[in-house]
Amino acid sequence: MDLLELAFYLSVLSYVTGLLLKALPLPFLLVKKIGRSLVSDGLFSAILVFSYRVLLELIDYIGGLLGSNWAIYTAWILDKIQALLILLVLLKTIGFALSKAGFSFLAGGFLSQLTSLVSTSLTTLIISTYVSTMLYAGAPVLIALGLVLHSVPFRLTRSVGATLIAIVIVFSIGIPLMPAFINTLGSLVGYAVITHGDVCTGEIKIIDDAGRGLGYAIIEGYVNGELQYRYVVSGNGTLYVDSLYGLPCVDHEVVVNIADLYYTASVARGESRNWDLALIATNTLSIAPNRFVLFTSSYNLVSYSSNNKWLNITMSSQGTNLTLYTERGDSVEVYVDGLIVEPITTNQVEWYGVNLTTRTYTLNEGEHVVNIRVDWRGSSSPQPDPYPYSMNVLGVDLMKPETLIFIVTYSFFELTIMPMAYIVILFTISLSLARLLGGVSTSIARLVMV
Amino acid sequence: MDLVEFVKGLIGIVVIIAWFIFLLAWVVGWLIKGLPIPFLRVKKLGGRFVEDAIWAAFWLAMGTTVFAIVAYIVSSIQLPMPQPPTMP
Repeated sequence: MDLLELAFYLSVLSYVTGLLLKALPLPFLLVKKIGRSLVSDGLFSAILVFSYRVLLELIDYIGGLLGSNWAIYTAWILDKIQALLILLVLLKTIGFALSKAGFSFLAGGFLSQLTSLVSTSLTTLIISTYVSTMLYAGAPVLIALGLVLHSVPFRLTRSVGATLIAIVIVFSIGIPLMPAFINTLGSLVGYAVITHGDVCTGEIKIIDDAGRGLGYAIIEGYVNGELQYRYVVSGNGTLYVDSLYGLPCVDHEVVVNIADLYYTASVARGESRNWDLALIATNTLSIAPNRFVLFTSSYNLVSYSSNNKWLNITMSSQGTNLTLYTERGDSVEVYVDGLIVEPITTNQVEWYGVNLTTRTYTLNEGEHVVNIRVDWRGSSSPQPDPYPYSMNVLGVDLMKPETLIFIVTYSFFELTIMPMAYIVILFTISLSLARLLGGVSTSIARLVMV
Repeated sequence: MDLVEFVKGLIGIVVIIAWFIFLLAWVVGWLIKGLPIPFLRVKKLGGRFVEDAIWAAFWLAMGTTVFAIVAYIVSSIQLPMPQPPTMP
């Protein structure tokens, strides 16, 4: 059933019913008044129904003007949810340690308070994700439904319809702007206060010989041999670290672990508080996340092309082994100089919960054309214990859980109170817009009906 | 029964009733206006009935025509539905 068609016919019904009442030969002013308002309601609803596409375009247009971006919003939400989950894990660890040490009264009282704050924030974020997804995906249907309710004669569901339309419009535009709102206000307080400004941010890229990102590497940072942080790089080989997770602001050693292959680099920071690192995993060529090629000795890349399934290269070497890493279950075809070849050895590797298969091929001295085809569906991220730098800086001492109160309170403020305040603001705007949509018809009536 | 068809049927019935009421109001209006009684207020009432009925009939005719044209154009053009929105 087409909701818009129904809304249109309901408007027509309002209109003709209004005229019927107006034509009634009865000397009661009230009847005529109801008739007149029905006619104007019908006209206004019909105009709204015809503005359906305009309303949808309006959401995009105003959203574009204000700079609302759903991709950034989704990334922000996921990032914050991840941060809260880390906090929860941390609290759990501390609680466990405290009860082992005989301080279960602390774990029971103080820590459970903090935990409930974190879980409230988490619930708020997850609910706002659900609501925003529903609004984003369902905007066309919800607006059409609002129009139907708006068009029902005798204003039976007019206010509900107007509110529905207004909420969809305002929230579709406003929700993606929430990160900007929170970041703007939050930066006034920020974690800098809590961490004494010791935390830097950064963007780290892990790339192969051809400059393509190598997905799902584990990065660890060491200062004087002591672990400072541990992160997992995303599937496209890029890791963004914000001030919540943090990177050290001092020169340090970076160890990159890709499928149990280790690369080490010393990194030195310039003036900026934002690291911008590109680390090259030498002798590798990436195909897709967790799928790449490793050469055991140096080689010369003559030509190169790659998409998510194929890797086509021309290379020359003094003789090398080529090892192809794939996830278990992928189907693989390797051609050398146009002929399909079989691996000399095949191994299974388990790497932080990811099941990998390695296939090794031998390439003789000289120039070869190598074509590799990997058929893959999904890719899974390795699951090491996360260790954000901020946890290190905060000096979270298992025996001093009160140091956590700052960060937990701040996250509660940032991820519960501020989103709620923002939603209240949006709701107020929605109500005003709903009043406009549901009540402006009287003035239109004056214009139309003279 | 389809809700749209039901509403369409309802509109048809209401329009027919409205035309009958227009005739009735017209007749009743002129009847009251033509009464051989010396009360001006009663005569004015009759005049107002006629006036209201004429305006209602005019807008009824205009409205049904315009709405019918719109419905006809929409049903004959039948724009293809836009692609459903996708999550980023």
